[in-house]
Amino acid sequence: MGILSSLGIGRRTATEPLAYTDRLVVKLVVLVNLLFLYIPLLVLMAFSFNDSKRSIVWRGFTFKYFEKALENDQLMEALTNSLLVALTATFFATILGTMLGLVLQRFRFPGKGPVDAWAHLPIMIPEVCMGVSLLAFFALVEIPLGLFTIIASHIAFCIPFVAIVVRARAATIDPALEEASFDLGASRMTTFWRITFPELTPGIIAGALLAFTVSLDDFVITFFTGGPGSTTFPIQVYSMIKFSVTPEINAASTFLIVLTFIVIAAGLTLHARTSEKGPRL
Amino acid sequence: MTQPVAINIQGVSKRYGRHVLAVDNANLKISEGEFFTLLGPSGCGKTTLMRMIAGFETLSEGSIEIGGTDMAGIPPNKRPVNMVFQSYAVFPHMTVAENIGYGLQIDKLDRSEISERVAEALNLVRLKKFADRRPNQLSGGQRQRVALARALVKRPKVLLLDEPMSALDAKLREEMQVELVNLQHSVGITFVVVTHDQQEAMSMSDRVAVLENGVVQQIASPAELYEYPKSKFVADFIGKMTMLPAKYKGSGDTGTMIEIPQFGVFQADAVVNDSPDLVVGIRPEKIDVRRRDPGDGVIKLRGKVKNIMYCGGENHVYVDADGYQIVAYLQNETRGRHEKFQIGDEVWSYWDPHDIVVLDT
Repeated sequence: MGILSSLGIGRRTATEPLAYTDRLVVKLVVLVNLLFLYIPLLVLMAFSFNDSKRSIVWRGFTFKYFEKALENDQLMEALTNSLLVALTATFFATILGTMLGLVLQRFRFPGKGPVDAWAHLPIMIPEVCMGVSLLAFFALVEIPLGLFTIIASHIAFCIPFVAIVVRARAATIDPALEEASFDLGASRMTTFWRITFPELTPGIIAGALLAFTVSLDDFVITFFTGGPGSTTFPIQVYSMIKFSVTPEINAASTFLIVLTFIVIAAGLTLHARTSEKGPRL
Repeated sequence: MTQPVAINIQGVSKRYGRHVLAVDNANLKISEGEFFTLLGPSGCGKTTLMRMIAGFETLSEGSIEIGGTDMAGIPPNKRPVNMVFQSYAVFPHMTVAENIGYGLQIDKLDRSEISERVAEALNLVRLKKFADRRPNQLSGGQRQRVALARALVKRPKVLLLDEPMSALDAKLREEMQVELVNLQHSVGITFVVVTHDQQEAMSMSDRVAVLENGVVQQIASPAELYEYPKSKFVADFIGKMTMLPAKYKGSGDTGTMIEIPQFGVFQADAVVNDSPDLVVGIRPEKIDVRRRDPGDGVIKLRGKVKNIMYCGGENHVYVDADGYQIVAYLQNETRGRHEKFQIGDEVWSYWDPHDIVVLDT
């Protein structure tokens, strides 16, 4: 088969019935999708290097908005807050979510159905509702709004994301592995740490990555549960563009995109290494 | 049985919920050094029984003793038995050597002793070259050997094997059967195997327990099971058997008088109870088929050849004798013998009266 025909161009050759990726239409759809998804990001990143205040016309290359962004204390504080929130929330949500995922996959207990549905509620209910309810809750128990309340809220809505991924991974583990470990003399605890946990690791990493990214760019819930001095990056950006879209924001966003990209790439590499069959997310 | 008892199972039952009786009052004594098989169709309770020995299932009734100690309340990690799982359950994130050493590490043995015993176990299952491989780089047969080594390295009193051959292809299965028996002889540990494959059970075991619907039907050596099955189920499950309805006609001086339709009354060696309806069974290789009348002194039925299956070493000849189907396995001792009969031929099927088994309906 020639290159042209393998690309689906030229003479119509008999294609394998299930080789959908050989069809030109499918390729075009994929291409258009990718462009649609990534062109805005690329434009945003490109204009962070634009030497123009209005940021619509290209006026030449510069790093000055990166410098400006770095010098903007408010922006930097917001970025630090965001990272602090995301990392802390991910840490706790991963532990709790892993436990939840395992419990839901492994055990039957009275009231499992409601608990199962309840636990996944944060994914399904509108964020506004969750934000309002959390705000009401914090007001009720008289906890002052701030970073603590934001982190607590983020942990709450990140747990189900981790739990879903961990649960799916746990379902693929042969239950006989744990029995074999038990049979070979290991206690339940040893079996968990030496057999179950290493087998779950790819799922835990994937869940943590999901939680991290969800937490990092959350706006609505953070908006409701934040207080003075706890502005996160998305909220800071939002308040800045109320005045004008400056390349400074582009620069800060670029920084965040690159950071996210690095975290995810690192996570995927780790995931691929711990997972037998390579990455699947 | 002069050998000491390794496993003593007494009156063991297992209930799931109110209606499911997975194992019904099982009584077994398995001797030390014995190769014992639990055989039965799927869902007969054989795996449940094995899991109760291993400690993964609790008993509803009865008791299990291993090496003279009652196992009630003792968890699997404290029992002197190890198990080879049906899926082998080789730990995917560990190398072969790490898998085998796992149980010894748990026992907190010296590092030098662990590596010595792991090396010994690797030799035993001929996987020395694969010590540093990961399970996903191994074939099914190699994985099975890892699972075997991992269990044997703990030097258990009893090794339990759950359907050890089910994940292997036919050729490898036969090799592993021989290998497993050799292994058992060399380590001298009691093996308890669960299988649904009667050929496997016959070829490997010292004794076999046949289970049906949670009930132990018969415990005997393979030869005894084959030649003297005690029930229709056992006769049918182990090998093939032609079964003819028969009538009890009273006891004579030297045996029991039994009547088969179309042949008449004859005297059987077996002394059976006096229920009027019986079944007479004959193994296919004990039946001969010929055109001429075989004469007296045999049980003979006239019929038509319905089907002939050429199976290499033997011919399976199906004869229809007035509605009763008779199956005979005829050896192909000389070339061309398999062409002796044609479908539709009028033939006599006959066998020695001593070769029959008399069973309850």
